Amino acid sequence: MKQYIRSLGYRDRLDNSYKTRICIGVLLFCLWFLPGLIENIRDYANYSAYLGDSPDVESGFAFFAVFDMNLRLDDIFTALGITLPCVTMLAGICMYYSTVVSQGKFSGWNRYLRTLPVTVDMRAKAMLWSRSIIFLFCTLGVSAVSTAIAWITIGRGFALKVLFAALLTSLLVESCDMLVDAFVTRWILRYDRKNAIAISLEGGIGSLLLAYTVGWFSPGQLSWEGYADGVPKSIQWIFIFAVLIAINVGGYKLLKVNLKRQYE
Amino acid sequence: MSDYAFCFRNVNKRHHGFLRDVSFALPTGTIMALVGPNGAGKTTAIRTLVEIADFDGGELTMFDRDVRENDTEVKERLSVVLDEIPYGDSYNAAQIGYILSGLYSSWDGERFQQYLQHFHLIPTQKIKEYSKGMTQKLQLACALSHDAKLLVLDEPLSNLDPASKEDIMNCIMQYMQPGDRSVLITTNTPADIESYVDCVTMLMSGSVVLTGERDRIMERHGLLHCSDEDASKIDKSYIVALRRNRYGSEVLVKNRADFIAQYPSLVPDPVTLDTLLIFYSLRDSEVTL
Repeated sequence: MKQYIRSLGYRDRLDNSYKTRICIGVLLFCLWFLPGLIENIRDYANYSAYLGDSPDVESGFAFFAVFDMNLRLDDIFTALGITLPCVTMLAGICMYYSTVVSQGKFSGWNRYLRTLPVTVDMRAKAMLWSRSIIFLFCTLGVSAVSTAIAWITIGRGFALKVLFAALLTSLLVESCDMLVDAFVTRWILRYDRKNAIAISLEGGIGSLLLAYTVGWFSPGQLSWEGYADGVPKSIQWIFIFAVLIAINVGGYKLLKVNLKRQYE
Repeated sequence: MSDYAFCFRNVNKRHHGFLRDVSFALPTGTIMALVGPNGAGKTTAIRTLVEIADFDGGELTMFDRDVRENDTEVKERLSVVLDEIPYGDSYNAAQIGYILSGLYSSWDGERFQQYLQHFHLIPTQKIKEYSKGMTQKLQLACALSHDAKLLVLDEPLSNLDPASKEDIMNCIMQYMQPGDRSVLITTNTPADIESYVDCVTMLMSGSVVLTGERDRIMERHGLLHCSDEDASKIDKSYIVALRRNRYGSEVLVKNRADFIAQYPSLVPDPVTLDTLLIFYSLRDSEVTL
């Protein structure tokens, strides 16, 4: 199993496109979004100063302090404003590089794999593991890039919010991507330009939709408060993460069934 | 042990390459050359055989089992060398060996190392630093390092120098020694493998035009060099193709024995696979050079 997962080329994809993707992503981010971002940051700083709710997390470095601070919807959206374009763009470039640029190479490898003595079950499992590994690396990479940008431009306290938002956004993107993949399985089996664009759009639009949905139901919102009075905010956040993880687990199971059907 | 390593029966394929009523079989213990000009359908036939490509109609069995069953036991007995570089760039030979060792139960790591040494391949060198010939050799090393009963090679000798070609063919002959193994090898330069093969199948435009034992196919054909006048007297049923040049005519004739009986003054020369391939490509057309 371990060997077959390696054979699926996630290492290659990371080696060949991940570094390039990160570099190009950061470059585009700087050229395209930075002027607007600085403007937003100024507004945010003024707004925070006006409200006088400068994050307490400045004094504490622990990530989980985020759960206890008064995380407002504005904070979330400001953080998402930084991370979403970054995530979506990186995801798009990632898909472009891993699908179009390396298409020839992987089409040969994928063809070769079909000649190997591997059961349908193993192929499906390995494909999902490979996909999860790529997701994990992308999440860590995107979170690190977003956090670093926020840290450099604003400061440590805000960087923690961005880190939190980046992880949340990555999970949102993955939830959306997983669900779409689960129903349109062939997208993860084929590698061509059309699917790269489709997957990028799906990641971008899906993440925005999910972000707004979570934003609407996030702790502190009217619609949520009515149902969760008296429930600690940390529990509310854990609930949101649990729902997202459940979507992923459900999507994973469904995808596996569909993959097996496709391989058979 | 089955009599045939694989069997095509009226296999048709219409999309992504084409095959028209393709029927041929590889007897166990033999080497077959699958020859044809570029675009004849050789790679399509191989891809269909090893289940990389689907087909629309007919029956295709490997070791007496339908190839579409995706039987891992059958795949365990199959080794494939593709015409393209299948491995990821960032892997090296040792890593490819490690991956395959977990997938083939009969993988022989020691033999793999021996082949790497034999082909002068450095195990830690990345594949992106390999030449095309080195990649072909690595593919062959992988293919020969487990107990496969059927070796399918798609253009394994392209991009190789003559010494390497001979070396690879010798490795294949060594692989054949146990007697229960079979090889299908495609090429569009049959001269490279002519002396090694037992059977020949020739594809033209997705159809089989010749299949059978090499010696019988050679015996049945002859290349006649004669004057244009003599050529015009030959019964058309004997002529596969005719080519005229300034010195006269060259005619590929079939049913050589009958032909000699009917035209004792016209004695055709023996043919090579290259000659057969050239003249069958000219079939149904009279060519003047």
